[in-house]
Amino acid sequence: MIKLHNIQKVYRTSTIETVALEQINLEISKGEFVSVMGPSGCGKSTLLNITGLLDDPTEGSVIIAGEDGNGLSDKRKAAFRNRHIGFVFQNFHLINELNVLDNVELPMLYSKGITPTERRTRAMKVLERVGLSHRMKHFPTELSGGQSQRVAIARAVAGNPSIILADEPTGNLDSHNGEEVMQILFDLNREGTTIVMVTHDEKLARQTGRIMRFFDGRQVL
Amino acid sequence: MLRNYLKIVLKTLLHKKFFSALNLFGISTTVMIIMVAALVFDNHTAPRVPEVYLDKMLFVERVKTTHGDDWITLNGVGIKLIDEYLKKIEPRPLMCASTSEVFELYASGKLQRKKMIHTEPSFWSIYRFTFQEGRPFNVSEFTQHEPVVVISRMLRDHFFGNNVALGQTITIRAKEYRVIGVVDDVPANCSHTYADAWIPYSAGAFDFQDSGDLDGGFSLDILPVKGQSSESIKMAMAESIRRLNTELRSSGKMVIISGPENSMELFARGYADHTSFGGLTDYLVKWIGALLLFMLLPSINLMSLNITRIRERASEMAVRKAFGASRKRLFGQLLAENVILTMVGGVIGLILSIVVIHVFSYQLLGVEADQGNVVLGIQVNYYVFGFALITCLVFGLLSGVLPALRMSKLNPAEVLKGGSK
Ligand SMILES: Nc1ncnc2c1ncn2[C@@H]1O[C@H](COP(=O)(O)OP(=O)(O)O)[C@@H](O)[C@H]1O
Ligand SMILES: [Mg+2]
Repeated sequence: MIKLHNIQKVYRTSTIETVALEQINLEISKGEFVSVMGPSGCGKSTLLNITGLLDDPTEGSVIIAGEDGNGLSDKRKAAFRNRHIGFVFQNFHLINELNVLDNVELPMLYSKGITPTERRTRAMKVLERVGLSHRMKHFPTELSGGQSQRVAIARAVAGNPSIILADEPTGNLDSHNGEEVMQILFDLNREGTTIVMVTHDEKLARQTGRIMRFFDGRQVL
Repeated sequence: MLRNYLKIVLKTLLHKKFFSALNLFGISTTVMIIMVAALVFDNHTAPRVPEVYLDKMLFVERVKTTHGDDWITLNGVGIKLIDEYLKKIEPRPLMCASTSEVFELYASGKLQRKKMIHTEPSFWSIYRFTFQEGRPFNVSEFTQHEPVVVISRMLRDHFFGNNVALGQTITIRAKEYRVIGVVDDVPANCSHTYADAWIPYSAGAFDFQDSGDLDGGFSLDILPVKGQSSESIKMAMAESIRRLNTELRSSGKMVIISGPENSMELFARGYADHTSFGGLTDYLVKWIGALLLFMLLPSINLMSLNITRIRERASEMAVRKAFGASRKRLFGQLLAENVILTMVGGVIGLILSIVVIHVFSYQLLGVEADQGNVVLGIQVNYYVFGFALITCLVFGLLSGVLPALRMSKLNPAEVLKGGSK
């Protein structure tokens, strides 16, 4: 499903060069639930972004869902993300100007061949699934952290992607809300979605299928 | 796709009420000022019937006389100054001296104030009236001081209804005149020709003016002949005035005339200083400078607002990118939003400008909105409207393109990267 080959990522500014990732080779199969762990600044987010074709590696290749990510144009990359990948961020990143339903519909705006009615139905269905049907017309500012993250997950899965990339999805949540969010992710994984999740929570990580540990830009385990 | 753009614009507009109000205020003020300026400028300087040569014409309207160190008088031009000095230039352009008077008329159930112009035969060559009946007065009628009158259609209808007007007499200000022509009504914002009756000044004006004075109540309208430059006329008249002033030296008096000014300078002086002459280009520069500054403030404001607004939306843009919006598409969305917002502001500005023109018609156009037959609506012509629309678009694009381009190029990874650092 996901194959990273010899990935290197160097951030260059005028004064310094930061090597964020070095010699990363990894493979994730379809249906896996993988936790990515490691201290702050070791390159976890960078890894996730490169995997999701949001960022380009300095060296190496990303093969994802049978596609060589590096070779794609901006437009094709965008279309690819739209079809195959759902992102969940630590800070939710909901759009405050849009209500919950519109937020969840957003990825489908960029998909081809989905009618507005279909978009609406699908968004309502995933909102029901995360238990937020009653908050559809609310705005993000009116939601708690846990609710926000559930909306974000609904948004990530609304377009039916085969892969979910979650960067510390429970990082801003208390343990109760964190567990609720994890439950949804476990359910999704059980239904076949491949999930890569960055987390600092050892206990949560142990519940997932596999843990990859990073240190200073390298995979250590 | 357009529907989505419209949707997000509306949503953005509605959810950032303060910002939207400020932004729309900026755009509409800008558009309004441009519109009003263009309309006012157009109104004072664009040739139209009967002032069809307005863009080529020159005018002398004011005379300033200094009497030693004692006092200064400011007046219209006197016939003596016109006949013996201003008209004595070579080659001779078409020139007419005219003055005006108000008369009262009881019509449509109320007392109305109407204007009559006292002028000379060349008036009819300089301005192109449409004669419904009859003809203008000629040189022989003028020199014979014949009490003849050309009247407007409105006045004809008032006095004669469906009956014959030509050859009949009418009484204006207790004097009888024989009607020799009927012309189409003149819009009240034709400041040099608007009236309802036109008579030879020899037949009436000297009842209230002295023909031997250097200053008086006349103005001189000048149309250069073919191949004659405004500059040469200005220089020749300046020379005439110099000659006059040498003759006046013993009396301690000195005369200065305004211009000759073209319609633009006339317009500028109207907004500048009525009492000083000369250096009118300076006034024009000042006036245009002030206008530009006025226009620029909201535009600059708008641009910086836009940049801030679009920056604030980095997270939104990054999310859209992450979920499948291409760079092109984002750019398009941002641009469309901006243009739509600008257009809405433009329409508001357009409406505002019409309101302003109506409310301040006297100050801006020199006529009351309900005076005579001015239809202020038609002042908002296609040219000015197009100008305003293009201005809106340019603002929309200018204030939108750069930030949108920058935003669409943003690296979503950097914005979205969560986690502890
Ligand atoms: N845009 C960037 N420019 C420069 N350095 C960066 C940038 N993004 C991340 N880094 C650096 O790369 C390293 C890895 O960052 P990141 O992937 O965010 O780590 P993590 O998510 O594991 O905390 C850090 O040292 C960080 O400072
Ligand atoms: Mg991180």
